[in-house]
Amino acid sequence: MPDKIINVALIGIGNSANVFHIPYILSLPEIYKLHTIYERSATPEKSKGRDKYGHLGVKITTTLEETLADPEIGLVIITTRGASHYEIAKAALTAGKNTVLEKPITTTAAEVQDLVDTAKAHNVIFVPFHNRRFDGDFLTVRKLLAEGKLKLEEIVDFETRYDVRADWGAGSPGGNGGITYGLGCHLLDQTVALFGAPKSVTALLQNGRRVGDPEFDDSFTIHLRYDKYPGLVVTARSALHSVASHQIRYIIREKNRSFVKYGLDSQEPQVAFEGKKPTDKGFGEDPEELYGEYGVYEGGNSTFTKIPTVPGSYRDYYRNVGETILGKAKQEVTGEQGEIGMRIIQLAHLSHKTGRTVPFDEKL
Amino acid sequence: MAPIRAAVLGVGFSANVFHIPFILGLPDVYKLHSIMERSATATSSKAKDKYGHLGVKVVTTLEEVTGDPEVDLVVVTVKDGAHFPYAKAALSAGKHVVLEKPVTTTSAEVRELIAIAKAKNVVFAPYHNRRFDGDFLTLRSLLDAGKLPNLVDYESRYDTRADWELGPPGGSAGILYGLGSHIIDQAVALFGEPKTVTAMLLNGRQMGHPDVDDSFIIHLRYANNPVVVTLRSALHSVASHQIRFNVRSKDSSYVKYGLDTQEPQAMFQGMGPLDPGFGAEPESSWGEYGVRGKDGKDTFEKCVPLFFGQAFPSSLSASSPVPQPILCLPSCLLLLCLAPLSCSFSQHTFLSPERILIQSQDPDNPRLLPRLLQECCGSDQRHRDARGYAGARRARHAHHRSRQDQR
Repeated sequence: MPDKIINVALIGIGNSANVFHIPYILSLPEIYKLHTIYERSATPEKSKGRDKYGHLGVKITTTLEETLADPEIGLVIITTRGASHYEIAKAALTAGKNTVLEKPITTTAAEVQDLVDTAKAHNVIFVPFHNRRFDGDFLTVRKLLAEGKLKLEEIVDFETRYDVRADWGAGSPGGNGGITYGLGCHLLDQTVALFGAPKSVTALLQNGRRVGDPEFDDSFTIHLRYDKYPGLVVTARSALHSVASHQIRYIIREKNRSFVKYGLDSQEPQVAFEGKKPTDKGFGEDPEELYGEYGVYEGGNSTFTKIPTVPGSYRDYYRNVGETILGKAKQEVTGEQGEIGMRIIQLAHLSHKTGRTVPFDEKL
Repeated sequence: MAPIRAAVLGVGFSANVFHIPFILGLPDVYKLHSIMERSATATSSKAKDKYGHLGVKVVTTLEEVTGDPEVDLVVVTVKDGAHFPYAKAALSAGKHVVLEKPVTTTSAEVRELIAIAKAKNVVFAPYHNRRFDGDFLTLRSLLDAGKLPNLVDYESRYDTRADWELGPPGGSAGILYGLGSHIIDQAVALFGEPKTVTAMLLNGRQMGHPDVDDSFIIHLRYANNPVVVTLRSALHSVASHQIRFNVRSKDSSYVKYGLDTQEPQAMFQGMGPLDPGFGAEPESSWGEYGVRGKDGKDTFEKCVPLFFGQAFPSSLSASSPVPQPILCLPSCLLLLCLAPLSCSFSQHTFLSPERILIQSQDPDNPRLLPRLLQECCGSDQRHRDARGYAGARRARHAHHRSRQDQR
């Protein structure tokens, strides 16, 4: 007997919903049905949700309550503005709905822990939308680790960067604005997935482009150290002021081996600008010029091989969410990992503010 | 003005490649007066072998140098541990001093040397020659031309994969002193004194003593400048392209790859300019200046800077058919001449070393390079250099051809 189809309710219908969520839900018709879109400002005459997806028979709701009260809904995907994330997720989980929550998932680690506890109490899953676990470049790093080409215990430094030249607006400091929350969440989540919780956090934040409030960060450098990996320094960096023909993505170095990669995952621009679908041939693939380089030093010589990038697949993120709900798989991106990542973000802000390295268990 | 009479302390690799050739190459400015070679004997002396024909006096004690009224300048190239005491003695004796890096172990020692030099009215010059690295000069010319206004971040790295042994702990051991001294000096030259220092020192290769660093990360922040300076070095870096500079303003940047390997090879490995692999560079060493236009589009220009290493005839090897003494002198003169060349060419902002090398290999213009040497050095040795360099050029052609075949 086939699995029951999971009915999905989208909270919000902005860019995020259209680029990062709906295409992937629609690409898995054997798992999901796009059932409802909660669009606060929708009217019977005018609705973005209806314009785009009405032909699929999608229901448009205008209150959170009616959305969460619908017993047909099996999964809620929250894509509204960051400030409301915690409250809406709490409501959804409390209503007994499995919940995917866009990043930055909350403002504090305590809030994340509360969502984790709420999910458990209501026997549903809470999944941070840390979709970049499924970026092609990160999948390639994982593949190298799985193949033994790199070993976690032997990595000396792990540098992970997200640099762009962007005119994204600056806002006010406080809350979960700023790049440390906005992009740091992804880079840090990837490091949590690989290395677990760090021992200490050292961070420098900047308003590099000098827009908006001077305390609003659009650039960060974060160093993490680990009890479990004493020889390792993780460096996470992000900048919105980076003019470069080749943006560094990873520099991962062991004593005798390394992996260096440039460029960013292609899924977002493929969907947003090229109108591609996740099921299209070549979706999520890197051009050859962005393949990373694996280097080995032996006997005084270095040899380098290009590593074809594993195709990125946010589709696999949603496949895992669905299979977890159906009890067929283990949840990949967990709320517990989200809590660790959020704690690191808070500690990064604290480290920057106080000009010191802060221990992971610092009282927050 | 009478030439400055220079005494060189030590006659190891540093003296032979980075100091003596330059002193000899500027005969209007300097006279190589004496060399202190502690282990010289009446029958056996490296200094006499190499420089005896120039009438250089060879002494075996520091006192013979500091006590000699004919010595104006003392160039200290001895072991790190002797840097401070020898420099102190020379300055106290009223001699100008050039002091190899790391100049001392503590800043208190440096302050003491400065104070003595002031009191004696002599010059104390740290040998931070990498102020004259082509990539750094290119960066300075971009900064001076206002092409990188209001720097947001400045990242300067010396990364390589090397099995250098860094010795026991203590004193000025480790890579922070050894290579850090240079990139720190460059940052001081650009930004002055920082307000805060954040640093991690590591033993990445797990070689030698665990307390001796072979890798570091330093962040500097400043009172009156929002720039964040990041200085990094690693000896465990396996990469086809090693980042050297990543310097960014809001709408422009200078990104440079490639590491001049000569000095660290020399410093830690005792390699010489004729050793195989000396000065060898990664295949492509490229620098790029990027600008975001008002229309939101980015444009990029290559600016491969003038490198000592790139312009150095690195293809010369001990197996070259040209006799060694003739090879050594003109190649070092090339180094010497490129220092002032790179300074003057930096006015033009971008300079391709390929152009200089190509010109020097131009069969229709065989005397161009010797002419460049003449212009720089005004040396009486120009004819000998030209003949020697023609032979060296043939050797380099052959080597370059064979390297291209291997690509």
